[in-house]
Formats: sequence, C-alpha cells, structure tokens
Amino acid sequence: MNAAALTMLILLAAGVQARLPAVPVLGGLRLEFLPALVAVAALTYRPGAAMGLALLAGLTQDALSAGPFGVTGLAYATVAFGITAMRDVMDPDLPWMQMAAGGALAGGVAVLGAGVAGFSATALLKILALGWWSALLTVVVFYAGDFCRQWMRDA
Amino acid sequence: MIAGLLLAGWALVLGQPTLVSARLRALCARLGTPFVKLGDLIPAVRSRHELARANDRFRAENERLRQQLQAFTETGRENLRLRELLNLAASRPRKTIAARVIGRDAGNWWQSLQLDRGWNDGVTENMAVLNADGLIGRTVAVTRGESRVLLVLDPGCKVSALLQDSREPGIVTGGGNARLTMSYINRAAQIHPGEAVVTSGFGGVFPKGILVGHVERAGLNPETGMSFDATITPAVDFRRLEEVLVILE
Repeated sequence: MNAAALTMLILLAAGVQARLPAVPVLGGLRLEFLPALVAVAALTYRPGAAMGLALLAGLTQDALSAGPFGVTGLAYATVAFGITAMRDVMDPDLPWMQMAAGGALAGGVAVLGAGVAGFSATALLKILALGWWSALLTVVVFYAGDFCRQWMRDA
Repeated sequence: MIAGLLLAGWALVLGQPTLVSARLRALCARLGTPFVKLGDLIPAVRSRHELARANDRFRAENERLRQQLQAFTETGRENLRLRELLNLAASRPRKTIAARVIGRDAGNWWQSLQLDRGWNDGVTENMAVLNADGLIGRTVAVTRGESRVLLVLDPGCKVSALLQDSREPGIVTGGGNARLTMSYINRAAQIHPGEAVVTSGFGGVFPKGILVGHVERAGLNPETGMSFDATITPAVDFRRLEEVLVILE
C-alpha cells in the first residue's frame, strides 16, 4: 500500500474512531482501526517509515483522547519497532503473522492504557477483546490491499 | 539501539506538561480534527421519519425548559429579595459559551468529548462544562479551535459535591462506566435514594449548585467502614450529547 494513502487512511481511521459510538453488545467498547493500519506499515515498510507512521497514528489518537499525550504513540512505536526488528523471520503474507502483529499492537496500547487508567477484570476483558478485533481486522486490511492491487493491475 | 534509547527517554517524560508536548498535541489535533468532522456526513443521512421524531422531542423539551425557566425566574426573584434582606452581594450571571460536540474519545480507556471551541473563543483548561440536565465535566486540553472535556464519568475527574437535602459533602468520582460514586460521606449522614447531588463550589473549578445526579443507593465503605459511599445516577445522558455550555468564568 502506498505510504501517502496509508497516512490518509491512518488520519481517517483516527477520526472515525473518535466519531463512532461505543458498541453496547461489546460492553461499551469503542472499535479501534489504527492498530490494523500500523500493523500493515510494520510488516511491509522499511523500519524508519514504519515507526514514523506508528508514531503519527499514536500521537493522533492521543491528541483525540484525554489520556496522557504520548502513551499510544509510545506503545505503537515500541511494538512496531519490535515487529520490524523481527521481519527477517516473519512472513508478512501469512494470515496468522498478520493477526499476531495486529493483536500485539492493540494489546500493547491496551496494556499501557489499562496501566494508566487502572487494571481490573473488566480491563483484562477489554484488552483481550481489542486484541482479537485488531487481529481479525489486520487480516481484512491486508486482504483488501491485495485485492485492490490486483484489481488495479488488471485494470 | 538509538531508537530504543529514544523510546526509553520518551517513556520517562511521558505525560509531562511540557511545551513540546503541548505544541505537538496541538499539531496532531489540528491534523485529526478535520477527519473527525467528516463524521458529520454520517448522521446527515437521516430519514424524514427520524427528523420528525427528533423535532417532536425538541418541541417537548423546549416546553419543559420554558416552564422550568419560569419557575427559576420566580425563585431567582425571591432569592434576590432575600439576599437584599440579608445584605449579601448579588451574584453575577455566569459568562458562558455554547459549543458543539464534534467527537468522543478515540481510545477505550478515557471518557472525554471534543468540542468545536478553543482558546480563540476564550476557552481555557479547567473550565466547567454542563448542559440543561447537569454537569458534564471540565476542559483538560485546549488548542486554538477545539478543546477536550474530561467527563465526570472518567475516574480522573473528581468533583467536590453536596447531598442537596442533608448538605453533607463528599467527592464524586467516575468508575469508567455509566455510574458515579460519591465517597467520604459522613457516617452519621442520612442518605435516601433519589436525593439530588450538586456541586459544592469547593476546588475552584465547578461553580456551586450544578446538578451532578441522584443517589441510587448508599452503604459503608467496604475497605475502611469509616464513611459512606453512595452510587449516583448521572443527571446527564452522556450518550446523546450534541450541544453543551462552557462556563468561561
């Protein structure tokens, strides 16, 4: 996926995250889209670009949140740093690798967020739910990216 | 290794109110806010039926507020007379500004709103935000054209409050869910369900007399047993906030 397109998608995802209501059936959880996009960057871009996009995503989310500024940016940058460092042994085309990356990013943010807001049984369930949601969404984003690339090639 | 050291350094100064973080936050908010406002396109696509229902709801609310205003006007006149009698200085009406809610918290760990007013409009940090129903929260981060409000539902927002009938003081805190807890209430206090809870005016942020909610139930603090804790139902419906008032002074 083109870096400029991914940057716009990240900003759009942050805006949508801040605008959509919480989902009552998921215990009032707000759906997060940024971890999946950061996972795409971490698995496919050079380390510098991946961390830059991770920082942009995290700091934008922090600017649209009441949490300490930099928490999400730190989490995304740290996990993205780890993913890019392990890229030699990770095959980004494998769905479970994509799920692991998305889940790790969402989980890292959620753990830091819970650490600031306070750990509890509800927080643990939230961390798990957010990790699973991002893991699944990452695979969907990769699939959509491949589909669009194929469609443009055929066109 | 350099990146790791930078990250470690960043972790040490995380959340500190530095000039760099304030400027960076303002820049990121300016980047993200236009995309938040794009969400206006989604609710704009409504059926006529929904609009008619909303219209009826607003008419009924308008009528209720008119009647309330009439009652308050009468109470205000009586208050003035009594103050003159006691030779107290009359309180000035508060200076307020209306703001539109343009976004909520982008994360899952805090409860906040984004408003379309910033320091260009006279809004600064630690200003009380409310609506016709009651207290909503306080401003925590302000940039040129937008501001962030920490809701009373958030555990980080603590409000000094009074039980309206018994005038017993306490501290109201959010639990991150839809209920509030009023703590440190005197053990000898008489608390009854449905009793209103209002701001006490202590602390310098929330003016006195703003409705916070109503008591649902009360019991001794399970950890210390030295004071009462009361569960409060908030007066405001936080799911349906669209316009709010910010108290500028």
